Amino acid sequence: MKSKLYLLLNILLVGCGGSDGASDSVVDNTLVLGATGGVATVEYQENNGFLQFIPDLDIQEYNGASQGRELFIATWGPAPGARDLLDGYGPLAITDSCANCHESSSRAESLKSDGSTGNGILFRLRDIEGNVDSMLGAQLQTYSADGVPEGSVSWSEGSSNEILFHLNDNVNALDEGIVLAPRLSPQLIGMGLLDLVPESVILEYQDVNDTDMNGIFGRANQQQQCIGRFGWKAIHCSLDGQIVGALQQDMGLTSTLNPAEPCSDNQGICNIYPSGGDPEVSDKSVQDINDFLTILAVPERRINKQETFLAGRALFNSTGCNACHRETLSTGEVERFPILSNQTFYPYTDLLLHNMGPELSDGAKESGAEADEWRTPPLWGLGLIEGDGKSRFLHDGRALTIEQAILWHGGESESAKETYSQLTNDEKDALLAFLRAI
Amino acid sequence: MKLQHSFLSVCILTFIAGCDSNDSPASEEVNKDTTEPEITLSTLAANRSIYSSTYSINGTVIDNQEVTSLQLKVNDLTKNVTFNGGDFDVSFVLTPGLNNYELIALDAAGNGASMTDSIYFGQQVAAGGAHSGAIIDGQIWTWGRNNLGQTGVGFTSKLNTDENHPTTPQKIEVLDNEELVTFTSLAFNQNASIALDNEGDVWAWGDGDGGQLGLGDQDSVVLDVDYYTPQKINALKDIVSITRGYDHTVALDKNGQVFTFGENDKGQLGNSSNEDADYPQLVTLTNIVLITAASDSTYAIDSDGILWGWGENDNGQLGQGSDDTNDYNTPVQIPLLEKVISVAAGKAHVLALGESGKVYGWGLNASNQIGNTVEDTWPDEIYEAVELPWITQAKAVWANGNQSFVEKSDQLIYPWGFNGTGTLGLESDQDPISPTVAIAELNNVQDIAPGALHTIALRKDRSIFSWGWSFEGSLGIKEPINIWGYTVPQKVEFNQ
Ligand code: HEC
Ligand code: HEC
Repeated sequence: MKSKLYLLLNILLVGCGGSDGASDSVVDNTLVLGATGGVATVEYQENNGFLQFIPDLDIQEYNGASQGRELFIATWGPAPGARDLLDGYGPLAITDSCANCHESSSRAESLKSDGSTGNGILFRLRDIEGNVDSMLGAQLQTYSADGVPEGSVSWSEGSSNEILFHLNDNVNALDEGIVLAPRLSPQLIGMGLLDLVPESVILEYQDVNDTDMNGIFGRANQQQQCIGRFGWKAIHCSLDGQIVGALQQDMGLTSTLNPAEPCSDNQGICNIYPSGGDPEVSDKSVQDINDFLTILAVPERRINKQETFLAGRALFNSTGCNACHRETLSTGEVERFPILSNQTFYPYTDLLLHNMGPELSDGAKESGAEADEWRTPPLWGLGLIEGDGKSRFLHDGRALTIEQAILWHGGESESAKETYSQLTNDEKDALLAFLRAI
Repeated sequence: MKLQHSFLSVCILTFIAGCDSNDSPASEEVNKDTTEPEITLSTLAANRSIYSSTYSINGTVIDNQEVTSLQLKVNDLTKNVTFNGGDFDVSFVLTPGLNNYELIALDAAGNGASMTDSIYFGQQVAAGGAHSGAIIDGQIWTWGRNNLGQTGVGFTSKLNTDENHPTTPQKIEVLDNEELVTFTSLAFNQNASIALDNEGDVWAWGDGDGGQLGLGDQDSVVLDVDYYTPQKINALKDIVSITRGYDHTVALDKNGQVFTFGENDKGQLGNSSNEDADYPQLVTLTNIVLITAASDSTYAIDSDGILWGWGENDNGQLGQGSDDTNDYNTPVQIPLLEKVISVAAGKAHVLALGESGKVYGWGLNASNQIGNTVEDTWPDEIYEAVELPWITQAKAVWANGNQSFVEKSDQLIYPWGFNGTGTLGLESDQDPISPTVAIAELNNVQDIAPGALHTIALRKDRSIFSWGWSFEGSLGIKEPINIWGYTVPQKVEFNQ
């Protein structure tokens, strides 16, 4: 009871603080932010930081989350398998468990020191117009049941510290213009909250014509009937869509929404290997995984010094970071998990696409997002993984630290980066301290 | 019911007196005491299960003037309770199943106060090797492994091959002389099942090995037949409590006598013999209030709070200061520093709950099911009761296999010991060496049944949860992953 009141008070205070960055140059030292994930906030625990459930949610209301947890961490196998529920893996895939790419307290290893790539990064196969490879399809699958995968990827550093990716062991050359479009695998926190934001809330920040003339546009990635919000290019509108996409493209598992194996018309292998059922993953299993991701709580802030934190926040706003990294979003009414209704939370994303300039372009258009357009990623929890030896930042993992990630910003964010670069060292430290705490 | 009326009349009287004094404000009327006494109980049981036939309550009764009487009404018996400077401490005998009790205090002016509570004597949920059960509204529901008919559905079956395998809860209706039987308690362990009905009769089904179903005659042949539906054990009557070891069964009757049957290779029947028995054997103990069993040992608490044990001592589970391979086929006293109010046993370890709320453990400690320090200073076998430093004010203890559970005063469940199959309900693959992390969100627990590797819990809102090793439908959930450890408690649905 006490904690809820406290939360309410915080939200009120935040409301007064305002979220318009530019006018926020005077630091209000009395400002107290609401909990990072609203009611879905939990004290960080070292080992399983991203695997904790909403503390105030009674187990009566977990719905399918227990089963969903097991499906998420399970190693799936080819059909027919000993466990009906967990078979159907492949014949083309990347790896056999969600948890291999989404770890409980880190980002999975992506760019390995020996020049190979790990589960923590995968590759879409597209050209600048969005066409997919005629042979290999829309994504490179590095596992194949017949022992002949579509290829593997190694990496090297380019002359200006950008990352170059090289396709190896491929039987077929890629079609003309098709590139390896890298996608780093993010840590999964607050997925349910992001899923439950009404589209109208996302559209509040859309500014396609830059009518406020601040150089920041912000465009919703309109899909057929909904606005994309998940993935580096906001290609999936909903958590369900993201889950069935991962099942199909990353694990070779079919579902009602994605009934086909990840083979192109020119790949016969999917017709040869036995199917794990029609579909291989039941609607209930998809719902269970969704329930599990939805009730994972967001770690609470880790603030060393409140003053520095608030100074950093003010700089984050005055530098213009918050023009894209929107501090708060809120959920609407939630029937399945009523406790998540009308929660204000602090992900630092507008879920919109921004032009990030040529240096961050991946040369591939995907599901409505141009090669140089990227969805603002959430920034919460980044401090928990920075410097852990394997976590990297930005869509291709080119940044090893949060600061490197900032310095790669271009396009619409060019001026924010410039402003950041001109901050004094103390100011930079404060801003970084803020980012590490959120 | 009757008492309710008399209490009501006290209220009405007080009310009328109140009116009087308003009408004629004579001073002695105004000063009339209208304040009711106040009863406080140190613990409210609120329907929770206990496994002892006696229950003690304590608390305080106060009044602005003077309390003149305190009465306890339980199961339609009324007795006067003595109170000393307001404190009272009283025990009473429970009947199997739900016991409602009421405390009524009166003061000199006739003002009355009452307080009610209820407690359940018996196990409302059960978990065996890989089958499980629950009593809901007096009826048995079962699910899980059924290779020997241990679910009682009337046939044997396997998860992958039989469509009607009891993966989710099935209601087992039992008729006795064409009347539907009402049950109060369950005891499952390994592949056999026992249930107690509200007439004091015991029913058995599943694996009949070693005569553990108690359905034989007093002849020299041990009946080891498996039964696929509950069978009444005609040789037992007036039973109030039941429990099971791995291959033997124990029953307590209303006179405090203990009966045993089943395998006896370790002397676990306590009948001065080592012959298996398919017919109840009387143990030479009296005034017993609680029984429990490890794999091949048996434990009993008497009305003085003394703990007795017999059977196997290979790992020191009889707490005699050493281990040995002797078969203790008659009861020995287990030395403890205080009166014991409850005891739980796993495969070969024992947890005793003292009246102070401290918990003591001994026996096998290879999975740290008794406990350990970070420096690993506790041995793999503990030969006499040690106080567990992580626990004060415990409310209940449970154990099976190599795992332990304690309910602490915060009313949360803290597990420790073997966790390789999700048995402890923690987000961790490690075996916790002490009860320091609670099962998340599992509050308001009324009963827990630890199985070999899975666990069933009943909560106050009557919802039932399962977690741990999913094998042959042991967790009672739809679309279970078979041969898999579930970490997060999952609600079991009962389709009436
Ligand atoms: C091979 C590694 C891999 C596997 C396996 C995998 N993912 Fe992902 N996941 C990713 C990558 C890479 C992204 C970013 C995708 C993009 O940008 O389009 C992602 C994105 C996501 C997101 C959205 C994150 C965000 O911030 O927008 C969710 C949710 C998710 N995955 C869930 C799952 C689930 C559930 C499974 C298992 C069914 C799974 N993933 C399996 C690599 C993987
Ligand atoms: C124009 C919108 C915009 C502005 C302004 C902006 N960012 Fe970003 N930010 C993005 C996008 C889009 C990405 C992802 C780019 C990519 O991966 O290629 C990103 C990525 C990041 C990342 C890495 C996230 C991850 O998960 O790896 C950090 C850290 C970050 N921004 C911090 C900042 C800071 C600090 C500022 C202010 C100095 C800032 N951003 C300003 C849009 C913006």
